[in-house]
Amino acid sequence: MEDDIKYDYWWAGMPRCYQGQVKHVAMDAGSTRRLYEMDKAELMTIDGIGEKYADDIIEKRKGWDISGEYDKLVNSGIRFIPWYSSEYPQRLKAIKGHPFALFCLGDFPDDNRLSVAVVGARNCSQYGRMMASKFGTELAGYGVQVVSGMAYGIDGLAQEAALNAGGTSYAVLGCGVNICYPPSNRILYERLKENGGIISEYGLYSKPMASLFPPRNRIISALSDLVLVIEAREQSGSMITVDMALEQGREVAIVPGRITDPLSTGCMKLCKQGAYPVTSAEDIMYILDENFDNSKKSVIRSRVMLTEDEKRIYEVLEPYAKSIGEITDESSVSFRDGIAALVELCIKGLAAETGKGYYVKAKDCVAV
Amino acid sequence: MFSSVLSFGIHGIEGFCVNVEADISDGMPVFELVGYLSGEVREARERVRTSLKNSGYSFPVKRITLNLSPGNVRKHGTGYDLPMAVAILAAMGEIKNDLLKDTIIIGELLLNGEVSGINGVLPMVIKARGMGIKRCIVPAANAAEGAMAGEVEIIGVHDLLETVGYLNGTGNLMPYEVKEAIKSKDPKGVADLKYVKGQLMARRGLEIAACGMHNMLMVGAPGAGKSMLAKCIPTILPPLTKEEALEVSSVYSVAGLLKDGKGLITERPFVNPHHTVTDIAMTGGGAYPRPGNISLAHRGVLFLDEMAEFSRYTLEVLRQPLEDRSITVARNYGTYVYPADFMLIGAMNPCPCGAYPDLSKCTCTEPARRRYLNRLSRPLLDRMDICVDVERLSYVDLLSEQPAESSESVRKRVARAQKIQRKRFCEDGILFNSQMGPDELGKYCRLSSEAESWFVKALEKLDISARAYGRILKVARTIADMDGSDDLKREYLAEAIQLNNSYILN
Repeated sequence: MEDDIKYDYWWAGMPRCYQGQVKHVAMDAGSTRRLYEMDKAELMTIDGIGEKYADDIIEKRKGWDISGEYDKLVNSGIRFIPWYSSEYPQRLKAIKGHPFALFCLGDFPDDNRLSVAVVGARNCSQYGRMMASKFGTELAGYGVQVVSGMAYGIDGLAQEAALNAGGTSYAVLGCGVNICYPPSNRILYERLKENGGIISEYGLYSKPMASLFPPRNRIISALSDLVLVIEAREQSGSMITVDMALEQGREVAIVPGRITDPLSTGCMKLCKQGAYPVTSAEDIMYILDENFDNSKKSVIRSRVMLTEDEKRIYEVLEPYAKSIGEITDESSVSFRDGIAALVELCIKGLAAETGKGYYVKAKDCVAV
Repeated sequence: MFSSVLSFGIHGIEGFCVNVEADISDGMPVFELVGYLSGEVREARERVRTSLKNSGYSFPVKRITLNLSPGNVRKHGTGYDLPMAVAILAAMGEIKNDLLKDTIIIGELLLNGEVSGINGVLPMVIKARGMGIKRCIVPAANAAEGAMAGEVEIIGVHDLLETVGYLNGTGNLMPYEVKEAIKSKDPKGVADLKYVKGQLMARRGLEIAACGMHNMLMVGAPGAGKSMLAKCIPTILPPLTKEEALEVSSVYSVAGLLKDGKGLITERPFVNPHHTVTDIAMTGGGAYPRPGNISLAHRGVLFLDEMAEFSRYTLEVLRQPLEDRSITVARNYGTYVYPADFMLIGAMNPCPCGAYPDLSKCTCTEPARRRYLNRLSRPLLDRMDICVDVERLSYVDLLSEQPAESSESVRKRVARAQKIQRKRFCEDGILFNSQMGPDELGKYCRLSSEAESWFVKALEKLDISARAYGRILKVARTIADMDGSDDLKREYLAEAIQLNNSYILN
């Protein structure tokens, strides 16, 4: 009986293992140990196993040392949690078609604490970046766990902000947990292991294939109480997450953008369908917690000392990119002084150069 | 009978003296050519014999041997036809030998005895002048070009008989007279900054680049006017000096690109190869190398439009010439050095579709954009001191009646800033701020401790690599020179930081 988990581990690494039927196959067979021992004819008597799948199973058994492989897993520090384990997240277990098992580096989100999924476009605007950081920071400030997919753009930025604010964050990957995808988020990946967790239902060394990502979105929404969408096009992975969230009975909130931006189309559509438009994490807290009272706390914007030129320039900066020409025109600062002021603002972290000669506001402050 | 005639060949863009010796002796009637000759020189046998016959001489039925010395240097080109014919005539006794001793003869023969023009006459004459030779007989078509070297009598000949007549003192040929002194023209044409509306940033970058001869990268949407701006650069650089004009014309002469009868090139070259150009066309090469694009851009501007579309290899070969200001091409028959002191101007889109950072239009993904920018290698970008954005013009700017500053008035400022640099570097063997090495940086770019600490903090905060440190200092030096200031003030450093290209590197 104790060995069963070793067979579960073998079964969890099956290709196609992520498909909803997998657990049922295991249930039908009685146990994964049975699956491991059955011959082809027997396998094919199980509902959902065709000839090709049976061949795959037999193939996968070859050269798989049940004890040895499991020992390797244990030694690697990666946790393997099958669905019947008490450690399996309750939120996830409650949904239909929950994963047969989960792989995890670090921890799972605490079942007793609020958790919010922040999702959005990879190719996001500076406005999206600012919003992702803002909500990540604020949510962490309220002790909310931030769940997302560690992708470029909104996902990664929100998670990074939550970690920076001292909170915890959890990433659900579309590949094996031992693969960092996208590779450029390597630092975030390492930090998440320490202050949160990396979670996946796919076997180790599974490559990040496009077909693996939509199913993992159901885990992101299932692990959270509310899905917050920041900048999503109408056809996007974020919209899939929202669909899953609605199916699972989770709340959905959006951060409004300019209605003319292509990046706003998804959010606006959700808004029309009844998603909550929110402007701060406080709004989210009111949605999730009816006893929430924030009257004592008020948001303080930090103050910075700026010279006259810098102040005038800073006032015309926006979260979307403006060229030097536009900025100096609008602020009526002379061209050369404007450049010097912009560089100073960049050094102070208040502005950022997003394209050559194009600047955005990077931080919201009160200039004095 | 034996005779010897002086002629010239071309190695790289330098002339070298060749002795054409002829001997006619009794024996089997053969016409033998020796002296490490290439195919086209060997073919001279037929051209010489036929043109002699058609000029009224009877080709001697004797054993004729022609030697081109030095025998260990490969000879190529068609300029040896005329000296060969003259050498044979001298050996036959048709020409008095005394004038031949200090006269250079070059030219290609046609079968009817006419002399046609060849490439590379100018550098040959320049070299001859250096050797103290007083007289050159060149094809009439090349006389204007050769005369530009000065100090050497240039005799332009139309055919073989005229040549013989001159050498025998019977003709009435006079040395070619230079009709107008070499005067470098102020560039004119469609390219002029006064037609560039708006574009304050790009104009400023252009001027700074011209002042310090910094290489520059322009980033901007398609149709924003990058090519137009690049074409304006020669118009704001000071005109070519006489020496520079001779250097540039020599390159063009060797490449066969001097217009007939036009003489010197007096405007700064502007070379803009298409992005499909090969590395060999860029550096120069071939079995007998010809100058490539970078040498044709010598003392001028090499403009690479759509720089990210050039093959990686073609761009990488630019690195060494950008450092050495010359290119060394090694081939079978020798190693050739071509001058390549040019200003590199690149232009590229900010992303494959060109709309970034306007995210409502840009359809590129972040990795696609990165890949596009990464086509320019780091070592190459390290050699480009200035990077500016070229904005797409608004209609307000386009229709504005306000006249923009003309190239001429910008050129005056550029000349002033360059003069300051020449004065500063008079003992350092360089001319411009962009050429400063670590020694000069330490000498001329000292920062006050306050500026220094601000600068270091700025680089750190903005995530600019240490390699950019020198680049930014050089540009700041140029901006200070433009203001006539000795101090590298903080505002100059700030502008130089804005102009650096680490946005692409990061």
